[in-house]
Amino acid sequence: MEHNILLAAFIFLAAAVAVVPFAKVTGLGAVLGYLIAGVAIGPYGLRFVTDPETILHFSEFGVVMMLFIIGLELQPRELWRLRDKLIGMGLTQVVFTAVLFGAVAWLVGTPWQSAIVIGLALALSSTAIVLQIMGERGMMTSDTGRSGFSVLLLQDIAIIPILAIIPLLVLPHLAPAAADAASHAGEVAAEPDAWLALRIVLVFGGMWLAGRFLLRPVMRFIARSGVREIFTALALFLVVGAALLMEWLGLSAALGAFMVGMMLANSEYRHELETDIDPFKGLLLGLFFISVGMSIEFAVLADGPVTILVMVLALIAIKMAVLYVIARSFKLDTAEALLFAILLAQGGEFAFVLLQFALGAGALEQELADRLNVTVALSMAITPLMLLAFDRLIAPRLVPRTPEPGIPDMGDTRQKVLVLGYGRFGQISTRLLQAQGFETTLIDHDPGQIELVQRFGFKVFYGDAGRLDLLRAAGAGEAQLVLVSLGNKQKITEICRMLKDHFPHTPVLARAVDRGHAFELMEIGVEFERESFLSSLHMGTRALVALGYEPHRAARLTKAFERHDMEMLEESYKLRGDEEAFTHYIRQSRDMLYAVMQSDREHIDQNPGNAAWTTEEEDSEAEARARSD
Amino acid sequence: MNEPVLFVLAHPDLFASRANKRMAEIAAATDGVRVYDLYAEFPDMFVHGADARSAFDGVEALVVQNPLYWYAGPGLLKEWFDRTFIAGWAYGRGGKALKGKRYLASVTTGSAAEAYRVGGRHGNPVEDYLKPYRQIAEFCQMRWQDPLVLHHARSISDDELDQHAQLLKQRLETLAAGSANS
Repeated sequence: MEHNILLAAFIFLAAAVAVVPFAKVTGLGAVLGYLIAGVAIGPYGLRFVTDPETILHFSEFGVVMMLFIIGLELQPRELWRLRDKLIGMGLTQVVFTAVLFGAVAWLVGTPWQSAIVIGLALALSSTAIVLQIMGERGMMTSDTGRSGFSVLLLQDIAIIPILAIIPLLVLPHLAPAAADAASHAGEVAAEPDAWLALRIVLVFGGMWLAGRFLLRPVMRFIARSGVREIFTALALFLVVGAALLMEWLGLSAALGAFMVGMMLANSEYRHELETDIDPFKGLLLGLFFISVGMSIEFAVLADGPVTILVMVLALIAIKMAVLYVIARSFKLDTAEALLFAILLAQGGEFAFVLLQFALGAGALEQELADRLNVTVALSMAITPLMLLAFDRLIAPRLVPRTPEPGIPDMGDTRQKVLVLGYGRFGQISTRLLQAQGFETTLIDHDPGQIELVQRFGFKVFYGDAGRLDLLRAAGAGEAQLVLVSLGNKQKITEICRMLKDHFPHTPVLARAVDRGHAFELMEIGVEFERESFLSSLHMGTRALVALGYEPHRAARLTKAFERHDMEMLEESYKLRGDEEAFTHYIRQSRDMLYAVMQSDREHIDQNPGNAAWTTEEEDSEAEARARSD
Repeated sequence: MNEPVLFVLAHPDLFASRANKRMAEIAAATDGVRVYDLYAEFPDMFVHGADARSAFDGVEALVVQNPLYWYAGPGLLKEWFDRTFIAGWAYGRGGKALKGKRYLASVTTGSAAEAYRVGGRHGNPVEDYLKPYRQIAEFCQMRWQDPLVLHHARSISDDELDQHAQLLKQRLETLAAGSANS
């Protein structure tokens, strides 16, 4: 396997390409597709790959990257806001579920040491599966999604103390074996001494300082150099580095990546980093799901199918019950609570890690560990199926609350307006929107400009707005409106075309640099505003006033001119291919404009007072104030 | 679709409106009625006369829906009359564009009905304040209809608002049907 990495890669990719799109289209979801692909090529399928453990270990890095990206999207401030859910939902869930599972295991005759390990290991859910599914369903910002995320995050944090406890739970008759296995390849037990505590403080302090003072200038420097792939390399370097540091400390690599991500959540390079890591994360996670599929030990299943079946059902039933009660007590309605419970009801990838670790530490018997592994893997595979059942059978019956039409959902954490190009032009429109309380995501590709604007306290992200993946990461799909206000004509046209193709439901307002550019935008079919049109018109009005016109008259004349010019733009757009007709039209319309202005002037000057009657001055000052609806 | 009834809506703060918004919605849902929202058509309050007049193509009845502000419609309504109903079109030589069409004024007020009487808070019956509109209609040879008045528009119950909306709907349907015959 190791000597032919290309062949292995080929097999994995082929399985993914063959199965996943099919699973997605038929409504099974990508996660289930990967799992099926894993079973198909694994030791109990076509036997292409026989040692899933190695792959599993390698692909766990996908989970690490995923948590990095989640960290990027979660600012510390927001984490603080989640604290009630973290403690109330997360901690309650872990403690109650662990106690229940431990009790059940103890009652069926497992030694108490193993029972504790089992309880803790099974209390954890699968971050990879749940977040992937929540992302697929666009749930990350919903109440259910936030709740699920809080529980997962607390579980990830809980791994640290759990790993510290397990070595204390050695079974008496396995004690000697445990000594050999003390150094397991994956996570290393945390030695609870002062030196470790110091290391932890040093590393986190160093990371915080680096994130605050070192990374920004480095990223700015790299961004300025314009070598794209080096930025990607930097992003990967950060994730791998954080993971290594955490392993050195004996902590969860995923947690470390999450923290580094969160430190960078405030940075203007956040979307760019996210975009760069995302493809790696996606592929590695896919690989991870495939290896979970491969590692289902069908032999163990065949030995005692009834036992395994009962274990899987008990696992899911107990977790769901605890989760459902918690969700209801946190005021989710029936449908939301049920969805939440189903989402998190499976065993997680950290169960594999913990069970493996407990085995090495001598806290668990081999046979039991095998069975638990199969149980967890099966429960992971069942999750997408249960969701399918929920969507088709249960959800339609629990009529969801109908949202109030027309009232924008201001509680959503996604920013509402996306502004591409925050230069002289974009700034003015954006400020108007911000003054109305709209949340804006601003993207610009000029580090100098970003620096300048930041000095005034505005948050602008660095990035090339011409990249589809960046637009997606910045929320072009969910935005209420996208303003395209860059200075470069060609770029504007390109971006508008891309937005129209990939996010056809998001309204777009674009900056048109000149008339010809306006035609291009009309062809694409986006709304636009000509960049200097209104200010020059306004200057014309003021010129008229300076020449002695009454201000209101000047303003009306300007209005008429503006109207005519807009009409002319549309007319000449229709003739744009035909050079001769076009020039003819322009000449003609100049005459027309004169005529229109003339008649408008007459009309405007013909004031409404020259009617066939004389008006009498009325008593206009009424005493009572009557302002009604 | 044929839309013989032009429902002119004049309300500067529709987002904060209760009654007028409701009336506009019910009008929009009535066959043969076109809602013409003045503040949306002319957001900067510059009324383009020719544009405004072209909205009358095929129109047989005019409904003007507005709240009463200072004993008259909101400012843009007046500007709209000033710029749209000009000599040679609405009146005077060759001014026959509006002749014979029905005119229904539908207004809302903030105070209860008792305020609109001699000696009341607002001094005069509400019909008195509609006189200028009646005179505009008659000057342009239109047929003045019995006006629809909704008092206390902010304070009445939802049921009362519903009832009034139904009343308006009936009037609109009558206008639309009547126009189809004539």
